[in-house]
Amino acid sequence: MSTAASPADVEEFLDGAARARRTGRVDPVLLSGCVIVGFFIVCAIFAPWIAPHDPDFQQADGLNGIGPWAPFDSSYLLGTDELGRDYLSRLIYGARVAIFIAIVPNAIAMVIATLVGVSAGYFRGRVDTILMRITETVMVLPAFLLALALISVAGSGLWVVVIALVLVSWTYAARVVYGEVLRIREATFIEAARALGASSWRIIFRHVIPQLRGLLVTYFTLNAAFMVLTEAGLGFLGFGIQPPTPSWGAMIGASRDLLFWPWLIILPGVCLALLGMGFYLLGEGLQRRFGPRVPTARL
Amino acid sequence: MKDEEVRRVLEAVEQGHLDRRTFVQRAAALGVGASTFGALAGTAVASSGAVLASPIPGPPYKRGKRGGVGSVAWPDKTVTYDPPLAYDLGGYYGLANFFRGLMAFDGKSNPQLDLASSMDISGDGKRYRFKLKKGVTFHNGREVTASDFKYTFERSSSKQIGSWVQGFLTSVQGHAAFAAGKTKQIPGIKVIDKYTLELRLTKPDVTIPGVLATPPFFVLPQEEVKKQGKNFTFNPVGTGPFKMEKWDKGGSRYTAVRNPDYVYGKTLPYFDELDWQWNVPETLEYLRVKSGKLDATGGNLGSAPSIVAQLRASKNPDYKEWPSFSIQWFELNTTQAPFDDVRVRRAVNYAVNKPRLQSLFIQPTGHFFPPNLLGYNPALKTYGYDPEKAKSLLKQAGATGVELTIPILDGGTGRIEQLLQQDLQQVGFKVKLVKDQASVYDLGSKLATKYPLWYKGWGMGLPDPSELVSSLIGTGAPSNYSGWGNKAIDKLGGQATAITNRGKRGSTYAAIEKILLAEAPFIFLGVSTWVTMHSKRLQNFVWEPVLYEHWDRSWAS
Repeated sequence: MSTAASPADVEEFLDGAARARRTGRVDPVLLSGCVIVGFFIVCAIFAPWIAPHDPDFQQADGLNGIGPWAPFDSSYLLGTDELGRDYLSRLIYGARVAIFIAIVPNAIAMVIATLVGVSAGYFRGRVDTILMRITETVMVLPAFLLALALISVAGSGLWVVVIALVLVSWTYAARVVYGEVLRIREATFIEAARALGASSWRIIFRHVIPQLRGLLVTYFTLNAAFMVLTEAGLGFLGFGIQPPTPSWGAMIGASRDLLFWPWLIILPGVCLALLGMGFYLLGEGLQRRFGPRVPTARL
Repeated sequence: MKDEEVRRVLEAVEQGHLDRRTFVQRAAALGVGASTFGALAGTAVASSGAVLASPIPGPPYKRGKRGGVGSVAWPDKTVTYDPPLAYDLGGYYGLANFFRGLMAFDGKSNPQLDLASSMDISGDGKRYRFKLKKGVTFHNGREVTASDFKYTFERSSSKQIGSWVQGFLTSVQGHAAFAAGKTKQIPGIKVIDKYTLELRLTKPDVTIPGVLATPPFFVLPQEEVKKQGKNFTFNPVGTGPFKMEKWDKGGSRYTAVRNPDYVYGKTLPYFDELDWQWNVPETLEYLRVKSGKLDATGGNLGSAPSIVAQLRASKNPDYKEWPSFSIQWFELNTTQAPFDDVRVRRAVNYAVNKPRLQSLFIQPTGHFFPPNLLGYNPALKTYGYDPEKAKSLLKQAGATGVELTIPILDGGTGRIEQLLQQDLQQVGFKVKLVKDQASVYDLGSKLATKYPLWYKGWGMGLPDPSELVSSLIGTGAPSNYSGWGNKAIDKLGGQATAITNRGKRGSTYAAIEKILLAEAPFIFLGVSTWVTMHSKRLQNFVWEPVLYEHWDRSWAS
């Protein structure tokens, strides 16, 4: 079954691009995605300069006698957590984990997906059969449960989480790349390259992969939201990054029994929702600009 | 006037308001012998006088209203009801619903006669003779006999069962060989006749009444245990106030109904039915009690600090904080560096910012013994918060910049580990936290092969310091995973169980704790504040510090 872009998708791609060129205006969806994601990237990069306190340090005056400080009630702008740590600083540093997770495992997953998808789509035959059956086998396993199982076996920690996220997320991208390569390999310029005697690897690296750039960038962005939310889910269940490193999902998980200190749940929740939305808008904007459509249902 | 006073004392005894010491003191003040009081109260008194007289042991029970359903929920993942094997709170706390024993605690952790009508202690303290109440029946209708107690005590002490109470009857003749699996019975447990049981000891052991008041020694019907095998845990058959009606594992709840043949069946229990739930987090427990859908929270609400802070601030009359026997500490792996050096162990004790522990509802006593326990001596020198002294000791020991990996066990929140992490980093350690899904008691002695220290909590089942020596601090004690041992403590611990004078016994245990504090195999934290909440309609809810509740005497208004 091919997942190559349909003529309608191509039309949409042409229409979107043509519209952008015609009006000369920036797509508001793309712009808002860039602003939101950009904001969190800035927070992540400049956290040590932006954050007012050490995010892991339990301040001597961080508790008020009956619990943590609420937002705007003390010198701690967004209050403190149950151990007396500055919550604003933890949220800012939490962006570091989120952005790291959005980029590093995502990029590794894209590389694996590209290699698998291109090899299977270009060489076809036995290579296609073996690689795509492996891909489909991993694909049918519930991603979140698979990640949980991996972390349970390997033990938690930043790099274990990265590996788990890579292992559960490369398959979808591989399927999309595979479909696109099936379409590209039949194009006349590939036929021309073959006629000129170019080797398979030269064709792949010089002619096929460059054609995938738009698709990969779009998919990377959409997958970033998946990565961030999956890490948050793992963190919520206590399987993510180890404490005291601030991770938004883990911050929500650690506060789930703290019913009467709602800011401890709401604030990281808002950050997660915003960043997830930012990546989605960015992906949507890029997709409108570059097309073709990629499956987003699992997001 | 004297008659009136006698009547009042008897009434207080009957309702369980008086403990043994107060009872004997008042009797003496009135010029009436304890035996006279006992006779008046309709219960037998031993020749040694060490007997509590009350028709129904336990906390006050009168004026209750019969009928209705009582409900409670617990945070545990599972609940088990085989008495020597129950370890989860929801199971252990509920054992007294289905089972009763020779003795029972009174709501203040003092043992009283229960299914025994008398306890006779020989002059040399090496023989305990119990007369059983006649006509007490199991839920299957069969009468309880002395043989059932022998079977129960041997089962709880056996190697096959491997219970945490296996070593509680070590003073009974032949216990050691039986516990090691070398003999088929304990000769020191003698069935004299159908209603008389005798324990013959190798040395005096004043802990026996307390031991027999702990649920793992509550009587079981041999035929039901054998018939049901592993299913006994879901189909408990005992002599308790409630009978199992329906076990709904999928729904994480069971229903128990009133046992009309309960030994105190004319009066208790008040509820017709009990609805016992588990797998309910503390937050949900609180919300359900608040909305009237549940009568009481199980477990300790203190583990959900925001709820307790809210309850404290609102001065809610339906919540209560109880002094507990729930000890909290970090156990140090003394088998290897850096904690094989006593200076390092002392240093980490000085490093802990103890006042901060209060935010986690730990009363930071700095002791190992809980304040209400015999042998607790507030005058003992404990480790104050002194990071400079800690640094100096570490420097002396040459342990600077040491890397430590501390586990967050059993899906814990990691709050206390993070408190310790910061404190240890302040004095120069490099500390990493790792999550480990196993519990401290699952890992047991494997802990020492994996980690340098770990957090530990222990809810005492027997309100006596002998439990701490035999289970936690004695050399090779079953739950001592630190690899640490001290011959002087072992010797004093062995002597202490035989000391009948309470004051002298307390001094002996205080001496044990003094050695423990000096040797510092643990980071001493303190005891948990136990927090419960109940619905407005639930009356006479009593939480027992030694981990059981008295649902037979609670009622709904």
